[in-house]
Amino acid sequence: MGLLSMILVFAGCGCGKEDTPAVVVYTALDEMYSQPVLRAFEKQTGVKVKAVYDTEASKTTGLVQRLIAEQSRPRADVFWNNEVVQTIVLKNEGVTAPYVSPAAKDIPEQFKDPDGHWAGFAARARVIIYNTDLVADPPTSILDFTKPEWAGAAAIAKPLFGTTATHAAVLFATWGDERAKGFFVDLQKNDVAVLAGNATVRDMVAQGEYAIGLTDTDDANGAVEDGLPAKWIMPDQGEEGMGTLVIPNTVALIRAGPNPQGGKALIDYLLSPDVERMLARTRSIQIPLKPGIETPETVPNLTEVKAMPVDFAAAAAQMAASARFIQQEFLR
Amino acid sequence: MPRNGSLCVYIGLTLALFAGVALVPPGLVLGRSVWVDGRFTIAAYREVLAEGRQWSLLRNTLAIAGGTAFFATVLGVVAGYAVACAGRRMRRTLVCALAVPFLIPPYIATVAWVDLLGRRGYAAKLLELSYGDGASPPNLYAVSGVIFVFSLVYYPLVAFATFLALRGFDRRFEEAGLCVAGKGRVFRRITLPLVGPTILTGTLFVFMLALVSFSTPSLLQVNVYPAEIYSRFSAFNDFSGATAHAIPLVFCGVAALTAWGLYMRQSRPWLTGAHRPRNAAGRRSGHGAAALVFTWFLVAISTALPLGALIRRAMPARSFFEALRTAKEEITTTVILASAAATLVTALAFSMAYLERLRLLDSATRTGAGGLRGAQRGSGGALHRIFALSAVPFLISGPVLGIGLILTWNRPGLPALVYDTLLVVVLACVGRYLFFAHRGAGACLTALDPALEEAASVGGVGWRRRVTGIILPLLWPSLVAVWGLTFVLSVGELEATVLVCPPGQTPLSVRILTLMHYGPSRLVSALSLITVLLILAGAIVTLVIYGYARRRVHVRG
Repeated sequence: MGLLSMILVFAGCGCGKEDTPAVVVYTALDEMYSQPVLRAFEKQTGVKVKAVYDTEASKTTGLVQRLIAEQSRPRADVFWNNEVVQTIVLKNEGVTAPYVSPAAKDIPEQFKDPDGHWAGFAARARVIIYNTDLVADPPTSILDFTKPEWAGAAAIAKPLFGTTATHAAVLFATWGDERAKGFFVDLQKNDVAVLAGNATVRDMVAQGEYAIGLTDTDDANGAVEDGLPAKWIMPDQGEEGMGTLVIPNTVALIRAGPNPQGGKALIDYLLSPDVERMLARTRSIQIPLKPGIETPETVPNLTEVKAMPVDFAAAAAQMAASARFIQQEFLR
Repeated sequence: MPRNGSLCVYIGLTLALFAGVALVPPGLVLGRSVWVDGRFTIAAYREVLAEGRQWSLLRNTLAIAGGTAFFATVLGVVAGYAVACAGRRMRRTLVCALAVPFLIPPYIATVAWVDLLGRRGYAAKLLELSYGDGASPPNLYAVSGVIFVFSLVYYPLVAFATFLALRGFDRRFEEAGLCVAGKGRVFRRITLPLVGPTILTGTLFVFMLALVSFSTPSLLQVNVYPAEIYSRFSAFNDFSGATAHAIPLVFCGVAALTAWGLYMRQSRPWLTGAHRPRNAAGRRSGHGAAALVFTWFLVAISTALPLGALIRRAMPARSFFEALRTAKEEITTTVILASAAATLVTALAFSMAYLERLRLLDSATRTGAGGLRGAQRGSGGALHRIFALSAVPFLISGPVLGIGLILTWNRPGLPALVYDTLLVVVLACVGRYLFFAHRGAGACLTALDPALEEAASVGGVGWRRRVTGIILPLLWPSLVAVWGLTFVLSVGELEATVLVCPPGQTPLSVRILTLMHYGPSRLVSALSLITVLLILAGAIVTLVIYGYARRRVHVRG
């Protein structure tokens, strides 16, 4: 009995009753960027936020699986994802509930769910990072990764996780199976390296291990801010170019979460201009989706970026098929 | 088994807790994987087994587990022999030094070795400076790299097993054998059967730990079953496929356990346990001196290099203060969690082992054949077979166990006390390490002279007084050692914890993984070192209590 009492005391740490119920958020955005935002919400509203952050190894998907597994008795109120497709997976699994936040009205329709299950804010873009010591004339399209001059000199992250998986699913949805599979086969033939994550791609390119790589704006900017010999460009921006993939953060209310009112308040806050401004000023230089938000010069302006037109719901539907092909054929 | 109220409560609590952590979570996961959309199907299993990738996954997984077990055994036997050869004072130092590599969680050791031997690591830079652009260190991102890291983390387990085997080895058997046979035959027929089982138990533990590990192969980009399970969950949302991939792991683990069990059964009962330790030290020879030199070199490689790399990366010293400042809550959570998990798993493992012993005592009393010692050589009955399932939650890998715990404890109607608090993480650690604790507690109980308890039993002393008055006072040094082992493992536990840790209560291991997005940064290295220090502190406390307990037991004896 003594042992049981001790365990119960240990287990009870931090589960005491609080005056205002806390909001529980599962967030896939890196802790170093999401935590200050959540602290600012706490300061502004007095509502405590309890967060579960995703790890580098699971990259969004660990939290998604956890939310699906917890569906019968949700513990989270809000899911703050750093991309779109896995949020749509949650919607399709019945994990999210519709909530049209008044703060979402300025967000472009492309970045909102028509049924109100999620809304986007503060985006990242897929970019080509290159080593300035090795490359004078960088490629301008992701299709260049299949060209012989970049054979063995290019790197991408494993397209099973994170934004690279989203990118792959979007290519399958936009190009169709045949062209997308051909592209990945060509990448394989061109000896493109597949690394653990986008941060690794950035590091390897900055260190000169590879000349070029495909990564996200936040990772690429980190290398530039650290003074490493690296620069980045938006791919496919020309007249004929398909545009680059712009991936917003998304936020969704969890169906039957323990504190829906607190959850809605947090969603309203996350979709406010303040949060887009805050995230734009971090090292991750997240791109505001709302018009008129002042940002540092290094942050790309969405009106000047040629963004790839994307049907994210179609991409979500393609996710499993593209992942299966990539695992069985591309990553053999 | 004699029945009374308190014994029934004791049995009921033990079985309920065992079922709650070891049987129900894997059972629910298995059930959900074959019960899809309201009907029974094994389509996921068929599909998984038909995939061509299975062979490469199986090859990699077995190569890593087998290779690690082999190299850790080779290194561990030499190191264990060296410890046995060392003088009293040096032996203490060497035991402490040998413990350190095992106290470094594998994912932290991997980060350090990547820093040293990675593509752009210190070794690569050194070789480039010495031999130019073409020179590079061996590729760490391969099966051999994983075996290398694991062998240097896990060999101390075999070293300690070897030392314990040699310490308990009565050399009179060898001396008697040498009177009538040559050295080779004595080694094969006497020495090996005497020390082999204990060493092989260490090897088995290493094999099992390497078999189900996810973090190191994942960091080094090697495809193995645990990593595949994780991909299935996360990339494909394929619950049944992920569970199906756990089945080969369970088969491999069960095969290893069966082989070990068969070997143990064949070991000679007339030799094992029928002696008192003699000549524990003093195996001084030319071999011993060489083994000592080799072991110190090994300790330097497996301890100083990775820790040095982490310290170098964590510099300047203010990183430590920053890490301590930002991770105070995580450190507290980790200490609470690991202490609670180690206490619960040790208590449960002891209860299980003692129930088996009671069952044997009961059977020996009824049949009157051979007493408890005789009964111990029997099969152990149904209870033994049920408790052998403690290996299952470990073998199905961390992510599957995590999902199983969610399915078990996160249900409408069940009190939130378990799932909404750290208790669910405690249960995750208990589930993962119960197998090791149960084996440890069982071995300790088996080594205890049964005559004491038999005499008390015959004299009409009840089970509770026998436990509190005889068993626990004699056994508690060993239980402290089991507690220490599970504390160390629980501090480093990551794979199930990451799926179930409650909001706002993050253990250090999860925090480190969360921060790894930017590679082995200063903060990650500082936090890794703090984790190692935390484990070291736990190990030192364990050693102090263990030493005190042993002295008390000897005084009583």
